[in-house]
Amino acid sequence: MRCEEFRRLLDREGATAAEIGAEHLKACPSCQGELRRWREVEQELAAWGQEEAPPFLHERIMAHIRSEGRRVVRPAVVWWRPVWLMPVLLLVLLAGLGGLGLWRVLRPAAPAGESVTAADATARGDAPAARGDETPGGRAVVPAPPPASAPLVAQRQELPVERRSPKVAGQAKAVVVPPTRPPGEPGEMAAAAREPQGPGGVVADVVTLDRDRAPARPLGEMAEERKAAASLAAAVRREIRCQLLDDRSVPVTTLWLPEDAVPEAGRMWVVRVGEGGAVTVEDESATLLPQVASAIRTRAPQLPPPGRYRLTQAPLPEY
Amino acid sequence: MAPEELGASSAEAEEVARARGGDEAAFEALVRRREGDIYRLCLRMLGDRDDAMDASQETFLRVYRALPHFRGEASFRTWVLGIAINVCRTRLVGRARRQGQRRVSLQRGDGEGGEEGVVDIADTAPGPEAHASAGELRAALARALAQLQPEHREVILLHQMTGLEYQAMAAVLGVRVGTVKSRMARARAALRAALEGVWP
Repeated sequence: MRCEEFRRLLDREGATAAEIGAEHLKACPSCQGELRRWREVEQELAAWGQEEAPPFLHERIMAHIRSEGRRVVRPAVVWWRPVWLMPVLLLVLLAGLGGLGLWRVLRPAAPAGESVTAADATARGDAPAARGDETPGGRAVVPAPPPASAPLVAQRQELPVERRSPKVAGQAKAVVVPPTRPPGEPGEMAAAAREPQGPGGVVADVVTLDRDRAPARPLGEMAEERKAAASLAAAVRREIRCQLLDDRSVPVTTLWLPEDAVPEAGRMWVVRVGEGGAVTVEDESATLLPQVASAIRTRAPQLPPPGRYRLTQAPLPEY
Repeated sequence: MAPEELGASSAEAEEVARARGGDEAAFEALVRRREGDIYRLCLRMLGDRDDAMDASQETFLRVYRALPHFRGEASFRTWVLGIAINVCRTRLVGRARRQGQRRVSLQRGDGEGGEEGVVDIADTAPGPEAHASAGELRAALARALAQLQPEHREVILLHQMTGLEYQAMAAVLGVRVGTVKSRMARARAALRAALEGVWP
């Protein structure tokens, strides 16, 4: 055996190579030195295997496992695991769908393409209907916000409206008047009726709310519009256009009176205007109607000269 | 296997069974039984006490996580040593990446079993010699081991320091016994070469 062969044997077998290469070792001091050195290496490596670990190693390992191991090993509570959660989620989902369906049923809906007039909008509330085709001459009076002309424009901008000719759309008219009539301006309403751009109120054209033509808007905005329409309807009062006729049946003044202070169509009540603006009204059975007299005093733009007149409904004005 | 070792193995198997059933005390006993082996292996593999402590913690954490999947085909000790070797390899690779400028050589593996090249790093952290208790041989051996490729260092330490037989080493490293033998021969040759001139 040569030294090179013994070194390979030493690499392959370690210190046990001494038994196999005993004859070569007897004659080779170099390989004896190499074997001695390797035995010392093996002894040193074996001594490393007996070294003590740091005393705090165990606690450190266990603390690490307790802090992280439990979190990792224990099955996490998954939110979808509980069995009861699925029926609850299903109920919530069904309730949501039911609410949506209910909202679709209960919300005021117009058939596709059907125009809705402002008077229709008011009729959806508790106020009496103001459709012109149902009661010719009917007129909706709407309190206007304090500047007389601008608010109506703003209101029109809020509502998806489409201007139409009154003759085409019907006879109903929406009239905007100040919320509280200033004292001393009793004839303003009639002036407004004559002048669509009157100072105290504006006679509005018949407007239509056409959902199909209106651009798509958020549901919240539509809900606000419905609220506005409801408040509008609550504020609407019906008034009838009337006339005072002299003894020759010539109209001397035109005024708008509440519908409960107006004779029926074709009937006439007697109105007497005395000195100092005193007004009395009698119906066909000579019963005094003080409320009507008061309405005439406050609503007539200008009282006629003292005398006897007849109160009757007036035909609608021509535009 | 010696009778006392057989008894220890039997007790260990019992502790493993209890630990798998959620017995924390049994698991702690297993840690206490094997933490020294693991720490020493990590220390000599990594050459740094702090790294060795961290690697030991990580090893037992992995053991804790994987214990339900431990099938007992190998001994618990072999299984834990294999996990520790993997932890050390991962840390060495990470260290090599972090200290890329300190990489002194990228050597191809010796081709045994188609093994890929292994990065040989010059360990600039406090080396094993810094922790050697005493003696020129210990310091020289620590320095020489640090120069070995990790796969050679593994087999040297597993066989000479931990005392594993080739069969157990094959189980730890996940290679064939023949591979272990040839790797061991190259590791001894490399170590002897590294010691030449350092330790007469």
